[in-house]
Amino acid sequence: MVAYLEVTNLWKSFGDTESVLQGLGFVQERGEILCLLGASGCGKTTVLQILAGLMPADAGRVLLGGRDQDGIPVHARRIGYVFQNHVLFPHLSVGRNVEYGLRMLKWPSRQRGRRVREMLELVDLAGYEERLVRGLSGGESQRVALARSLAPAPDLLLLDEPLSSVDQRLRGDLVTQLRSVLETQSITAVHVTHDLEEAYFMGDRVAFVHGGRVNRIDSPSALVANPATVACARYLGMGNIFALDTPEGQRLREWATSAAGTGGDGGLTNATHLLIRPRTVLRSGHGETRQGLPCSGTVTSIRPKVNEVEVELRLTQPDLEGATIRLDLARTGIDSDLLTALESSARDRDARPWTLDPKGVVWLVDEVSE
Amino acid sequence: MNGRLRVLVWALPPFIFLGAFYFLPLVRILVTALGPDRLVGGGQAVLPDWRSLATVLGFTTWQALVSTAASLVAGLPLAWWLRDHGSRLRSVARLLLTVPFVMPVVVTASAFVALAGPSGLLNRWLMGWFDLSAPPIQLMHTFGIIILAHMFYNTSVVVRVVSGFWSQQDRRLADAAGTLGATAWRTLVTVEAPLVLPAVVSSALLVFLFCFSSFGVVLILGGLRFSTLEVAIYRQAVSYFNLPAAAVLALIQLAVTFTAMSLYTRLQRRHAVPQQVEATEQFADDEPRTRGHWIGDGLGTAAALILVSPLVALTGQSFSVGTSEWSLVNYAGLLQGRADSAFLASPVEAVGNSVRNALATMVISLVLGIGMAYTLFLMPGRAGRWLDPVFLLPLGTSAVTLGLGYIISMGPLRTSPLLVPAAHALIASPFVLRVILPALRRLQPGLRQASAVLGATPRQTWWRVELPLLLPACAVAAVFAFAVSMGEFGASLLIARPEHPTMPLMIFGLLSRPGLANLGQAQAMSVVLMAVTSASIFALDRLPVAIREF
Repeated sequence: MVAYLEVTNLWKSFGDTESVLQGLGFVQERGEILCLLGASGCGKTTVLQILAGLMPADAGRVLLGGRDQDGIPVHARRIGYVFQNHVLFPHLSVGRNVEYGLRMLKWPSRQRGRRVREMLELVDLAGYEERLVRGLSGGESQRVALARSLAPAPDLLLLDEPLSSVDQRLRGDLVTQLRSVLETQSITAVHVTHDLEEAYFMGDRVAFVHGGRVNRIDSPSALVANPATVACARYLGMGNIFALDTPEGQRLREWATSAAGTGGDGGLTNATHLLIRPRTVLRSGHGETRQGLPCSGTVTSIRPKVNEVEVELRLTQPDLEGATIRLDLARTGIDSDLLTALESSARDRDARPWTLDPKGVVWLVDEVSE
Repeated sequence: MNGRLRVLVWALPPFIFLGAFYFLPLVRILVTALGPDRLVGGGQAVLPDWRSLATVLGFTTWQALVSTAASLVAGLPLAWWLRDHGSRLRSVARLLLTVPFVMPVVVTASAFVALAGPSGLLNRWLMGWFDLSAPPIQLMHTFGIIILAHMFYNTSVVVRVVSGFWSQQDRRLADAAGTLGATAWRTLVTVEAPLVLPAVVSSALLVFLFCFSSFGVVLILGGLRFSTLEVAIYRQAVSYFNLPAAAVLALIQLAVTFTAMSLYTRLQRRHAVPQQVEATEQFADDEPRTRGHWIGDGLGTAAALILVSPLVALTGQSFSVGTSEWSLVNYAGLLQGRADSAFLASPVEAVGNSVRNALATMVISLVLGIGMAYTLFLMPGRAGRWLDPVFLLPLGTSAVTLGLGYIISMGPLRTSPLLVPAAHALIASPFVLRVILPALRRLQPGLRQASAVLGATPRQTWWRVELPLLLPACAVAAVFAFAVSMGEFGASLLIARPEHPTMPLMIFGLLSRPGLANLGQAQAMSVVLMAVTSASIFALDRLPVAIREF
């Protein structure tokens, strides 16, 4: 990988509180879209502000195209920034907004006009030049903000939750359009979001930010397939995480490794936690083959949801007594045998034998060392 | 440019200006009053003796108390009536009630002369109806007319402050009392009145402050019999040229007003009396209309009309005083320099002087106000909080005191044509600051960042983004500064050169001279001034309940 944007060991704290950034770093290729994913307040926006030069870092280095950005004032950085609430200039028309950066670059008037038209066409707003910013819908102003930041052809585009102030229903379309615009411009972009779906779709790679650093960085599909860290698994909404550093945890580890195909051996050495994916296939009874993880337990609740059924299973076998697993069983995947077993277990409150698909077991570490 | 340097650039002009035109004069007053050279000056009875001092102070306090009580009596029922923003009638009434608030003091004086003076409207009617040979109403130069004129001004202060606060109270509290069985009257007494009490106290304090430092009303309408502290300062300084005595009086005046001001601000902070009164349609008038509503509307409208009646009388009289029928004689008189005039300038020249002063005031106060606003905006934390009241200090200083300070301290600048606009700008700057600072704070911080990442330097950002967005506020502030300057009386009276009178000074001069022709011209000029300053009402709606010191 040829590094285009290289962010190393960023530190930042506000006042006396704990540092927001604690040595955050990542490397990005030219033309790549990187999503910074994380909970609100985890420092994603701070990273963008530091990259743009709007805020100094306490420590760390930012190299863009091999050039150290330290000491370059904001207006000289050639960075595009799409703000969370768009911040269009309310006193300027749509066209003037898009033109603003070109004026700063002292482009001649005719070229400016052409570029503005081009940019507005790009975001599907042709003919909007004279419109007032005030009358725009959320989606429109988001696109104007995008056109405005792209017009001066920046070296790097930063997007700070660009869709967060847009109506939920429009987001799907906008995110598709955003992705295709960025692709046609083949621009290097850092996209900040807390939305899992958005990150999954937008990012060539996703960097999960936690505890002031990049906790996990990988392609979206790899990230979901193997969250690898406890924090990332939690953020992805996966429950059923069990610590391994207790006597119970030790027995849990033995039980989980008893079946073939449980997440490979790599995790075994330094894994600290065990995850049982919520979307794991569950079968009734202990099968004949060793292709499953046998357990016994009581179904304590069955809660039907729109597309799936949430089942709470309390394990009763001696080594795992009391552990509760929540599973989201796809409605279509429940056969009548399983359904009967689940219902009667829930009704009679009796422990029954079950078999879990071993692919549902994932080993986790506290933090991936790079 | 780093942050600290930027603050300095903005802070420097206001600091230099305040230093030269506010603190220096004040210090000189202090030195004159307490310094060793106060005893020089003939050696005999330079300082006022204790008895006359007590008399002046006693009268000043007494008339202020009576005026405050009278304004509350008139204003509270109106505030109750206007507490919800329902009908159009009420919004018109509210606008009408704002008119007195912005009237220059000379216009008010003219208006009271036009209504109740010896040849005023009421006396002319009464004499006509009952065939009397002498005017039956003898209000001029009485205690009563002073109180009435103060009521004219300050009823609207009470109404604005109290009804604004009232309308922001939760109406459901009163509804709750109603469901618990309280009658409307009991609800008013037991629930609503205690809730609005802080606003009532605030407005009373404000009115007291205004009346305590009343100058023009007492000087023009009270005649020689009455003297408040302000009038005494003026007479000592101008009539007797006894500057040390004037300075001592000015110190007392300053002490009282600053005490009242700090009490007022503390009260405001504690009770968070709403700063800005905006029309909210939140509680539309959807209750069924009872007879009580009709009576309330009728009485309220009548009261509002009575309150503005002096201005109506003024307008009418300006077309009819000195002539037997309606004519423009008095206005025509303004256009010709009068040959027998004791003035050193013609009315037209006075209009020119006033407009020139007002334009200069506008420019100076905008530069000052913008500088102050940015200083407070950029100044971090505690220093900013400490500076805010410093910038508002001119509000707590009476115009006459300021004028006196200029007489004492300005030396060669005394004759500069810019001295009057400087004083006016100082008086207007707190208003300008109060309009611009909120606008500046409302600017999305992201706008500056967006401009910067698009390649604009801080200076380009200021010019292309911040300034255009501040323009509406600047326009409002400019209108206000213009109106303040056009109507300002106290400071101008002390520092304007006799050969360059402003309109208020000309009106004052005309009013204090005998003859219907002079009176007619005074009233015609007052109407012109009234028209100009009325424009500022619309600016006033953008302003927090302001402290008037015309």
